[in-house]
Amino acid sequence: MADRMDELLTHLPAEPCPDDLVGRIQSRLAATRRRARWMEQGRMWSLAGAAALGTWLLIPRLGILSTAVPGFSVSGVGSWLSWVLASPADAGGALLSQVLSWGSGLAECMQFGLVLALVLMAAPALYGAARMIASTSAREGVVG
Amino acid sequence: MSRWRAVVLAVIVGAVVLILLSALAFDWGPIWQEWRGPLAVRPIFGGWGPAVTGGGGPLDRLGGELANLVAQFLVGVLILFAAPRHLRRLSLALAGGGARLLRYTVVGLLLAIAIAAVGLLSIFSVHTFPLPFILGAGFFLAALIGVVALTYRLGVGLLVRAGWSDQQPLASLALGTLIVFALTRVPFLGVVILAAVWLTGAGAAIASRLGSGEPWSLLPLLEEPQS
Repeated sequence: MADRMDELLTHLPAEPCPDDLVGRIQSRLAATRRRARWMEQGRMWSLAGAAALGTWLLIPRLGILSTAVPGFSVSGVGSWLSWVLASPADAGGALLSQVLSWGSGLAECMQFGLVLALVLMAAPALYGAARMIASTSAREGVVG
Repeated sequence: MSRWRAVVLAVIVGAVVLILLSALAFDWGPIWQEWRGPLAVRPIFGGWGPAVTGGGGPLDRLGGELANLVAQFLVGVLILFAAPRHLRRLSLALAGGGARLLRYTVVGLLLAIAIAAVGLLSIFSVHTFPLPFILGAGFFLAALIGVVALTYRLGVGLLVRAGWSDQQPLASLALGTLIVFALTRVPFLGVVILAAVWLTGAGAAIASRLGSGEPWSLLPLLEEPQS
Protein backbone atom coordinates (compact mmCIF):
# COMPACT_ATOMS: atom_id res chain seq x y z
CA MET A 1 0.00 0.00 0.00
CA ALA A 2 1.52 3.29 -1.13
CA ASP A 3 1.97 5.84 1.61
CA ARG A 4 2.68 9.55 1.50
CA MET A 5 6.44 9.03 1.13
CA ASP A 6 5.93 6.95 -2.02
CA GLU A 7 3.74 9.70 -3.42
CA LEU A 8 6.39 12.33 -2.69
CA LEU A 9 9.10 10.19 -4.31
CA THR A 10 7.19 10.14 -7.58
CA HIS A 11 7.40 13.95 -7.67
CA LEU A 12 11.20 14.04 -7.37
CA PRO A 13 12.95 15.51 -10.43
CA ALA A 14 14.77 12.93 -12.57
CA GLU A 15 18.01 14.89 -12.72
CA PRO A 16 21.42 13.85 -11.33
CA CYS A 17 22.26 14.81 -7.76
CA PRO A 18 24.61 17.78 -7.36
CA ASP A 19 28.10 16.83 -6.13
CA ASP A 20 27.84 18.86 -2.96
CA LEU A 21 24.36 17.60 -2.02
CA VAL A 22 25.58 15.33 0.75
CA GLY A 23 27.78 18.06 2.23
CA ARG A 24 24.95 20.59 2.09
CA ILE A 25 22.56 18.21 3.77
CA GLN A 26 25.09 17.46 6.50
CA SER A 27 25.88 21.12 7.10
CA ARG A 28 22.17 21.97 7.16
CA LEU A 29 21.54 19.19 9.66
CA ALA A 30 24.45 20.35 11.82
CA ALA A 31 23.14 23.94 11.76
CA THR A 32 19.64 22.78 12.70
CA ARG A 33 20.96 20.70 15.57
CA ARG A 34 23.20 23.56 16.72
CA ARG A 35 20.26 25.95 16.71
CA ALA A 36 18.11 23.46 18.62
CA ARG A 37 20.90 23.01 21.17
CA TRP A 38 21.29 26.76 21.64
CA MET A 39 17.54 27.19 22.03
CA GLU A 40 17.45 24.40 24.58
CA GLN A 41 20.35 25.90 26.52
CA GLY A 42 18.76 29.34 26.36
CA ARG A 43 15.50 27.90 27.69
CA MET A 44 17.30 26.06 30.46
CA TRP A 45 19.24 29.14 31.54
CA SER A 46 16.12 31.32 31.42
CA LEU A 47 14.18 28.87 33.58
CA ALA A 48 17.09 28.45 35.98
CA GLY A 49 17.29 32.24 36.28
CA ALA A 50 13.54 32.43 36.89
CA ALA A 51 13.77 29.73 39.57
CA ALA A 52 16.70 31.51 41.27
CA LEU A 53 14.87 34.84 41.19
CA GLY A 54 11.72 33.18 42.52
CA THR A 55 13.65 31.59 45.38
CA TRP A 56 15.33 34.89 46.17
CA LEU A 57 11.95 36.62 46.29
CA LEU A 58 10.32 33.83 48.27
CA ILE A 59 12.82 33.39 51.11
CA PRO A 60 12.13 36.70 52.90
CA ARG A 61 8.38 36.08 52.56
CA LEU A 62 8.27 32.56 53.96
CA GLY A 63 6.75 33.89 57.18
CA ILE A 64 3.64 34.97 55.27
CA LEU A 65 3.20 31.45 53.97
CA SER A 66 3.08 30.11 57.53
CA THR A 67 -0.37 31.66 57.78
CA ALA A 68 -1.39 29.35 54.93
CA VAL A 69 -1.21 26.41 57.32
CA PRO A 70 -4.71 25.87 58.63
CA GLY A 71 -5.10 25.15 62.31
CA PHE A 72 -6.32 21.76 63.47
CA SER A 73 -6.87 20.43 66.93
CA VAL A 74 -8.51 17.32 68.28
CA SER A 75 -10.94 19.31 70.39
CA GLY A 76 -11.92 21.45 67.39
CA VAL A 77 -12.45 18.42 65.16
CA GLY A 78 -14.36 16.67 67.95
CA SER A 79 -16.73 19.56 68.52
CA TRP A 80 -17.27 19.92 64.77
CA LEU A 81 -18.12 16.21 64.50
CA SER A 82 -20.65 16.58 67.32
CA TRP A 83 -22.09 19.51 65.40
CA VAL A 84 -22.31 17.33 62.26
CA LEU A 85 -24.30 14.74 64.18
CA ALA A 86 -26.60 17.37 65.63
CA SER A 87 -27.07 19.53 62.54
CA PRO A 88 -25.26 18.41 59.37
CA ALA A 89 -26.35 21.34 57.22
CA ASP A 90 -25.17 23.93 59.72
CA ALA A 91 -21.88 22.11 60.25
CA GLY A 92 -21.30 21.87 56.49
CA GLY A 93 -22.08 25.54 56.04
CA ALA A 94 -19.75 26.49 58.87
CA LEU A 95 -16.95 24.39 57.40
CA LEU A 96 -17.41 25.97 53.98
CA SER A 97 -17.44 29.41 55.50
CA GLN A 98 -14.28 28.62 57.47
CA VAL A 99 -12.52 27.35 54.36
CA LEU A 100 -13.56 30.41 52.37
CA SER A 101 -12.41 32.79 55.09
CA TRP A 102 -9.09 30.92 55.29
CA GLY A 103 -8.64 31.27 51.54
CA SER A 104 -9.66 34.92 51.38
CA GLY A 105 -7.40 35.72 54.35
CA LEU A 106 -4.53 34.02 52.61
CA ALA A 107 -5.26 35.81 49.34
CA GLU A 108 -5.27 39.16 51.16
CA CYS A 109 -1.86 38.63 52.71
CA MET A 110 -0.27 37.50 49.44
CA GLN A 111 1.77 40.46 48.23
CA PHE A 112 2.83 41.01 44.64
CA GLY A 113 6.37 39.84 45.38
CA LEU A 114 5.11 36.55 46.76
CA VAL A 115 2.80 35.94 43.81
CA LEU A 116 5.64 36.71 41.41
CA ALA A 117 7.93 34.34 43.31
CA LEU A 118 5.37 31.54 43.10
CA VAL A 119 4.89 32.06 39.37
CA LEU A 120 8.64 32.17 38.79
CA MET A 121 9.09 28.93 40.71
CA ALA A 122 6.10 27.00 39.36
CA ALA A 123 7.03 27.23 35.68
CA PRO A 124 10.64 25.96 35.96
CA ALA A 125 9.59 23.25 38.41
CA LEU A 126 6.90 21.93 36.06
CA TYR A 127 9.22 22.16 33.05
CA GLY A 128 12.04 20.39 34.89
CA ALA A 129 9.73 17.63 36.10
CA ALA A 130 8.31 17.16 32.61
CA ARG A 131 11.80 16.93 31.10
CA MET A 132 12.94 14.41 33.69
CA ILE A 133 9.81 12.29 33.25
CA ALA A 134 10.27 12.34 29.47
CA SER A 135 13.92 11.33 29.69
CA THR A 136 13.13 8.56 32.19
CA SER A 137 10.42 7.23 29.87
CA ALA A 138 12.83 7.33 26.94
CA ARG A 139 15.41 5.33 28.89
CA GLU A 140 12.79 2.76 29.75
CA GLY A 141 11.91 2.46 26.08
CA VAL A 142 8.50 4.07 26.44
CA VAL A 143 8.18 6.44 23.52
CA GLY A 144 5.62 9.18 23.88
CA MET B 1 22.65 -20.40 55.48
CA SER B 2 23.54 -18.15 52.56
CA ARG B 3 25.05 -14.74 53.10
CA TRP B 4 21.94 -12.91 51.87
CA ARG B 5 19.67 -14.88 54.18
CA ALA B 6 21.83 -13.78 57.08
CA VAL B 7 21.68 -10.21 55.81
CA VAL B 8 17.87 -10.30 55.58
CA LEU B 9 17.54 -11.73 59.08
CA ALA B 10 19.99 -9.14 60.43
CA VAL B 11 18.04 -6.37 58.70
CA ILE B 12 14.77 -7.57 60.28
CA VAL B 13 16.30 -7.76 63.75
CA GLY B 14 18.03 -4.40 63.25
CA ALA B 15 14.79 -2.77 62.13
CA VAL B 16 12.88 -4.07 65.15
CA VAL B 17 15.66 -2.94 67.50
CA LEU B 18 15.74 0.48 65.83
CA ILE B 19 11.99 0.92 66.28
CA LEU B 20 12.18 -0.20 69.90
CA LEU B 21 15.13 2.05 70.72
CA SER B 22 13.60 5.04 68.96
CA ALA B 23 10.30 4.60 70.78
CA LEU B 24 11.74 3.85 74.22
CA ALA B 25 14.75 6.16 74.34
CA PHE B 26 13.74 9.11 72.22
CA ASP B 27 10.91 11.53 72.87
CA TRP B 28 9.91 13.97 70.13
CA GLY B 29 7.54 15.81 72.46
CA PRO B 30 9.77 18.51 73.99
CA ILE B 31 11.69 18.98 70.73
CA TRP B 32 8.46 19.36 68.79
CA GLN B 33 7.12 21.88 71.29
CA GLU B 34 10.31 23.91 71.17
CA TRP B 35 11.23 23.73 67.49
CA ARG B 36 7.99 23.64 65.57
CA GLY B 37 9.00 27.08 64.29
CA PRO B 38 6.52 28.77 61.99
CA LEU B 39 3.93 26.08 62.74
CA ALA B 40 3.81 27.41 66.29
CA VAL B 41 1.42 30.14 65.17
CA ARG B 42 -1.37 27.52 64.99
CA PRO B 43 -2.24 24.62 67.28
CA ILE B 44 -1.12 22.01 64.73
CA PHE B 45 -1.62 18.43 65.86
CA GLY B 46 -2.56 19.63 69.32
CA GLY B 47 -3.56 16.53 71.25
CA TRP B 48 -3.04 14.03 68.44
CA GLY B 49 -1.30 11.68 70.81
CA PRO B 50 2.23 10.41 71.30
CA ALA B 51 2.58 8.86 67.86
CA VAL B 52 2.57 12.27 66.19
CA THR B 53 3.68 14.80 68.73
CA GLY B 54 5.79 12.72 71.04
CA GLY B 55 5.13 12.93 74.73
CA GLY B 56 3.57 10.24 76.89
CA GLY B 57 5.51 7.38 78.42
CA PRO B 58 7.83 5.00 76.57
CA LEU B 59 5.12 2.35 76.37
CA ASP B 60 2.68 4.90 74.95
CA ARG B 61 5.19 5.79 72.30
CA LEU B 62 5.81 2.11 71.55
CA GLY B 63 2.07 1.59 71.15
CA GLY B 64 1.92 4.54 68.78
CA GLU B 65 4.78 3.12 66.71
CA LEU B 66 3.08 -0.28 66.52
CA ALA B 67 -0.16 1.35 65.42
CA ASN B 68 1.72 3.31 62.75
CA LEU B 69 3.50 0.23 61.45
CA VAL B 70 0.36 -1.91 61.29
CA ALA B 71 -1.61 0.91 59.65
CA GLN B 72 1.05 1.43 56.99
CA PHE B 73 1.18 -2.29 56.24
CA LEU B 74 -2.61 -2.58 56.00
CA VAL B 75 -2.84 0.43 53.72
CA GLY B 76 -0.20 -1.25 51.55
CA VAL B 77 -2.23 -4.47 51.51
CA LEU B 78 -5.33 -2.56 50.41
CA ILE B 79 -3.43 -0.88 47.58
CA LEU B 80 -1.85 -4.21 46.53
CA PHE B 81 -5.26 -5.84 46.25
CA ALA B 82 -6.87 -2.79 44.62
CA ALA B 83 -4.41 -2.44 41.74
CA PRO B 84 -1.90 -5.31 41.58
CA ARG B 85 -0.88 -4.84 37.95
CA HIS B 86 -0.38 -1.12 38.31
CA LEU B 87 1.64 -1.68 41.46
CA ARG B 88 3.79 -4.28 39.77
CA ARG B 89 4.60 -1.93 36.88
CA LEU B 90 5.28 0.89 39.31
CA SER B 91 7.56 -1.29 41.43
CA LEU B 92 9.45 -2.40 38.32
CA ALA B 93 9.98 1.24 37.42
CA LEU B 94 11.57 1.69 40.84
CA ALA B 95 13.94 -1.25 40.36
CA GLY B 96 16.45 0.60 38.20
CA GLY B 97 19.00 1.37 40.88
CA GLY B 98 20.11 4.44 42.81
CA ALA B 99 20.38 6.82 39.86
CA ARG B 100 16.78 6.23 38.83
CA LEU B 101 15.55 6.56 42.41
CA LEU B 102 17.37 9.88 42.64
CA ARG B 103 15.69 11.02 39.42
CA TYR B 104 12.29 10.13 40.86
CA THR B 105 13.12 12.01 44.07
CA VAL B 106 13.99 15.12 42.07
CA VAL B 107 10.81 14.72 39.98
CA GLY B 108 8.78 14.44 43.19
CA LEU B 109 10.44 17.52 44.68
CA LEU B 110 9.87 19.60 41.54
CA LEU B 111 6.26 18.49 41.34
CA ALA B 112 5.72 19.28 45.03
CA ILE B 113 7.07 22.81 44.47
CA ALA B 114 4.97 23.27 41.34
CA ILE B 115 1.79 21.92 42.95
CA ALA B 116 2.27 24.07 46.07
CA ALA B 117 2.82 27.16 43.95
CA VAL B 118 -0.11 26.45 41.64
CA GLY B 119 -2.33 25.66 44.62
CA LEU B 120 -1.47 28.94 46.33
CA LEU B 121 -1.94 30.93 43.14
CA SER B 122 -5.33 29.36 42.52
CA ILE B 123 -6.90 30.80 45.67
CA PHE B 124 -7.32 34.16 43.96
CA SER B 125 -10.26 33.00 41.86
CA VAL B 126 -13.50 31.56 43.13
CA HIS B 127 -13.71 28.91 40.42
CA THR B 128 -10.19 27.60 41.11
CA PHE B 129 -10.51 27.90 44.87
CA PRO B 130 -10.82 24.13 45.59
CA LEU B 131 -7.66 23.38 43.61
CA PRO B 132 -5.22 23.46 46.56
CA PHE B 133 -7.20 20.69 48.27
CA ILE B 134 -7.66 18.63 45.11
CA LEU B 135 -4.02 18.96 44.06
CA GLY B 136 -2.84 18.22 47.59
CA ALA B 137 -5.04 15.14 47.85
CA GLY B 138 -3.88 13.91 44.44
CA PHE B 139 -0.24 14.37 45.32
CA PHE B 140 -0.75 12.63 48.66
CA LEU B 141 -2.45 9.63 47.04
CA ALA B 142 0.24 9.37 44.36
CA ALA B 143 2.94 9.50 47.03
CA LEU B 144 1.15 6.87 49.11
CA ILE B 145 0.88 4.47 46.17
CA GLY B 146 4.48 5.15 45.22
CA VAL B 147 5.71 4.46 48.74
CA VAL B 148 3.83 1.16 48.82
CA ALA B 149 5.44 0.20 45.49
CA LEU B 150 8.84 1.22 46.82
CA THR B 151 8.49 -0.85 50.00
CA TYR B 152 7.17 -3.80 47.99
CA ARG B 153 10.11 -3.65 45.57
CA LEU B 154 12.55 -3.42 48.49
CA GLY B 155 11.02 -6.52 50.06
CA VAL B 156 10.98 -8.46 46.79
CA GLY B 157 14.60 -7.56 46.09
CA LEU B 158 15.78 -8.78 49.48
CA LEU B 159 13.72 -11.98 49.43
CA VAL B 160 14.90 -12.87 45.93
CA ARG B 161 18.54 -12.30 46.81
CA ALA B 162 18.13 -14.43 49.89
CA GLY B 163 16.81 -17.23 47.72
CA TRP B 164 13.39 -17.18 49.31
CA SER B 165 10.34 -17.22 47.14
CA ASP B 166 9.26 -13.94 45.64
CA GLN B 167 5.79 -15.40 45.12
CA GLN B 168 4.52 -14.04 48.43
CA PRO B 169 3.61 -10.41 47.79
CA LEU B 170 2.38 -9.80 51.33
CA ALA B 171 5.64 -11.07 52.83
CA SER B 172 7.58 -8.80 50.49
CA LEU B 173 5.40 -5.86 51.43
CA ALA B 174 5.73 -6.63 55.15
CA LEU B 175 9.52 -6.80 54.93
CA GLY B 176 9.79 -3.59 52.93
CA THR B 177 7.36 -1.76 55.18
CA LEU B 178 9.26 -2.83 58.29
CA ILE B 179 12.59 -1.61 56.89
CA VAL B 180 11.32 1.72 55.57
CA PHE B 181 9.32 2.35 58.73
CA ALA B 182 12.35 1.63 60.92
CA LEU B 183 14.51 3.99 58.87
CA THR B 184 11.98 6.79 59.27
CA ARG B 185 12.09 6.32 63.05
CA VAL B 186 15.75 7.30 63.37
CA PRO B 187 15.82 10.49 65.43
CA PHE B 188 16.23 13.62 63.25
CA LEU B 189 17.53 11.69 60.21
CA GLY B 190 14.21 9.85 59.99
CA VAL B 191 12.35 13.00 58.99
CA VAL B 192 14.72 13.49 56.06
CA ILE B 193 14.36 9.84 55.05
CA LEU B 194 10.57 10.09 55.29
CA ALA B 195 10.52 13.16 53.06
CA ALA B 196 12.87 11.51 50.57
CA VAL B 197 10.81 8.30 50.48
CA TRP B 198 7.55 10.18 49.95
CA LEU B 199 9.02 12.42 47.27
CA THR B 200 10.50 9.38 45.50
CA GLY B 201 7.17 7.56 45.71
CA ALA B 202 5.28 10.58 44.38
CA GLY B 203 7.79 11.11 41.59
CA ALA B 204 7.68 7.47 40.50
CA ALA B 205 3.89 7.24 40.71
CA ILE B 206 3.33 10.40 38.70
CA ALA B 207 6.09 9.65 36.17
CA SER B 208 4.59 6.22 35.47
CA ARG B 209 1.00 7.54 35.56
CA LEU B 210 0.31 5.39 38.62
CA GLY B 211 1.85 2.38 36.91
CA SER B 212 -0.55 2.50 33.98
CA GLY B 213 2.23 1.79 31.48
CA GLU B 214 1.06 4.71 29.35
CA PRO B 215 3.54 7.50 28.63
CA TRP B 216 2.93 11.17 29.33
CA SER B 217 2.44 12.40 25.81
CA LEU B 218 0.50 14.87 23.70
CA LEU B 219 0.68 12.62 20.65
CA PRO B 220 -3.00 11.57 20.90
CA LEU B 221 -3.90 15.22 20.34
CA LEU B 222 -2.06 15.33 17.04
CA GLU B 223 -4.28 14.39 14.17
CA GLU B 224 -3.10 12.09 11.41
CA PRO B 225 -2.18 14.02 8.27
CA GLN B 226 -4.89 13.68 5.69
CA SER B 227 -3.63 11.88 2.59
